[in-house]
Order: sequence, then structure tokens, then C-alpha cells
Amino acid sequence: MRNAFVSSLFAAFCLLTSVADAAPGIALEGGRARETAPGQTVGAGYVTIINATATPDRLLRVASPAAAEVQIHDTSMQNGMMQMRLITAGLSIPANARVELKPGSMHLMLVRLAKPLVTGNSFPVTFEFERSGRLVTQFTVESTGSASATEHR
Amino acid sequence: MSKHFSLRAIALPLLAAVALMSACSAPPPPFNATEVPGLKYGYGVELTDTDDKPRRIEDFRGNVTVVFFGFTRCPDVCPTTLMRLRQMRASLGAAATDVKVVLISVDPERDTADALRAYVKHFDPSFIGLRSDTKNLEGMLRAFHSVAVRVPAADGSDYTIDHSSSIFVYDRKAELRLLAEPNMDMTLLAADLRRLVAEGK
Ligand SMILES: [Cu+2]
Repeated sequence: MRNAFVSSLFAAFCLLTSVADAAPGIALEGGRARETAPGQTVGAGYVTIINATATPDRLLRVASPAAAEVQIHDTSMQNGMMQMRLITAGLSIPANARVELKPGSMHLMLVRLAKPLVTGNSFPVTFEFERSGRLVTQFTVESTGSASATEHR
Repeated sequence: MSKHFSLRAIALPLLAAVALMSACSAPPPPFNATEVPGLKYGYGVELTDTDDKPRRIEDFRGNVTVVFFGFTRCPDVCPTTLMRLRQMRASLGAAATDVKVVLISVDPERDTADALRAYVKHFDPSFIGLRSDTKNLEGMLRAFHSVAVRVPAADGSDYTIDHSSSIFVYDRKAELRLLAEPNMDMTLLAADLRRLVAEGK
């Protein structure tokens, strides 16, 4: 009985906080891409998506002038096999959660790059969310020697 | 007091002797990666390097050779592995001279010698890219007990390749000794490689 009361109180609190910061809702952090080797026409991008609201959201599409197409991919290692899959149904962003796109895991695949990705350069990337709408962030190109670019799950 | 002292005087050398004896008879500590008993994976397979020179895995005898599969249109996990191996190799100091890192392409059709060279050398000039004849890709993979499967994109315009993830480590006799996964702690793999390098030529 008491538990039910506490949880409904908690739900009310969550509702209040979600109303309070409903304005942007989603934040993007640490956008970065990996420099490409000569001749490489595909690149990888990483970012952390932060949903500070109590409502789940969904990342529908990603686009950038740096590439003809930006795909949401998932890398997995299972039964000794390395696999990379396109996430077609969009990426679900749970309430009050951080979704990290990082090396060896979920990542953005920059297909048919407009030009090679050179360390130190940056380019805009637009994210389209079901609830929060469009958000633009800058991706910085990192050297393949940098530590954050090698972090593995 | 004196009884206590004498007990310790006997016990300590005794303990030391026991420790020494067990150290002598104990087997060497296990490697961090998965040990396999000197297998001859990939023997007899004709590969070519990015200068179109024929190379066989057994020709790497004398070195400790780290082999894994990948392809140049793999922008996430293959570069991650190459970067981690570069750092790992660099951490070996002088021992690195005898450690060769080899990427075997599972996409020889698109990975021309030029494309593969540019790709592997971008990560480390010492890295070696090897290709099989496009007609012999299946045979090459079978010899390495590995797999690679083409997965077409939804619109059929492109494809990606699922492939075996294991990293093979060959010893100085060019025999396969260790299997590692690419997300293994590279300091542990480095320790294993030092031991294999120390095994002598
Ligand atoms: Cu990908």
C-alpha cells in the first residue's frame, strides 16, 4: 500500500520534471568522426545521446553534408563472428538515459564521403528525433591515434 | 619467547624451500589469450602482399605474427582493431621488431593491392595487408578455419561482410599458438607476445 503511494508520488515527480525540461529534451555530446585512410569512402562517427526527460524518444534519421548518406549501424561480435547491421527502424532512446554510439558498438556510418575526413576538421550532423525534432551538432575529426577513438566496449 | 623464535627460524627456510621446489616443477603460467597446440592454419595458401609479392603464412617463420581478417570498407571495428594493435605493438619496445601484424582481406574484389596498402599503412607503416585470389577466397578461408559472408544492403546497391573475429597469433615456428578476440585487453596480449618473442628464433 505504502509502496503504491511512493511509486505514484515518484511518477508525479517524474511527470513534473519532464514538463520542466521538455524544451530541448535531448542533448548530443562528444560528436566525433574518425579520420579516413587514403581512398576510403566510408567513415565512422560517434556521439552520446542524452535523454534527460521521462519520455522515451526515437532517433529516426541522421544526415550530414559530409556524406551522401548517414546510416545508424550496430557492430556485434557473436559466436566468433564480427557483424555490422543497419538499424532500419530507428534507434530507441529510453527515458532518462544516455545512449552511447562508440567504437565496436553502435555507430554512425558515413557512406560515400564528400571528401576525406582529415584530423582537426569538423562538420555538422543533423539528428531527427520522433519527439524532439531536429538537432544539429558538430562532429570533430579525430586522428586514428587518439585514445578516445580506440575505446572498446 | 625463545621457543617462538626457534620455531620461526625453522619454519621460514622450510617455507622458502617448499616455494622454490614448487616453482621448479610448476608448469609455465597460462597465456592470457586462448592457447592452441601449434596448429598449421592457413598453410599452403597462396596470398599476395600489397606489392603483389607471393606470401604464405609459413613464410613468416622467425617472427611472431598477428593475423586477423577484415576489409577496407569496414569503418568501425577494423580500424579499431588496427589502432589497438598499433598501440599494442608500440608498447613492446625493441621486441616489436620481431612482431608482424597482418590483415588478410575478406573482400579481395574491392580491396585492390593499392586500396589495401593505403588502408593498412595508414595505421602503421609496418602493417602488412594480404589478399587471396578472388577465385580462391573460399579455399583461403577454409584453410584458416574462418568464415566470411557477404550481406547485401537493403537496396542491393552495396554489401558488407560478416567475418570471423578471432585474432590468430603464430609463434616463431609459424605455428598457430594463440587465439584472441579483438576486444581483449591489449596489455594482456602484449604480455603474451613478449613471451612468444622470448621463445627464441
Ligand atoms: Cu558500420
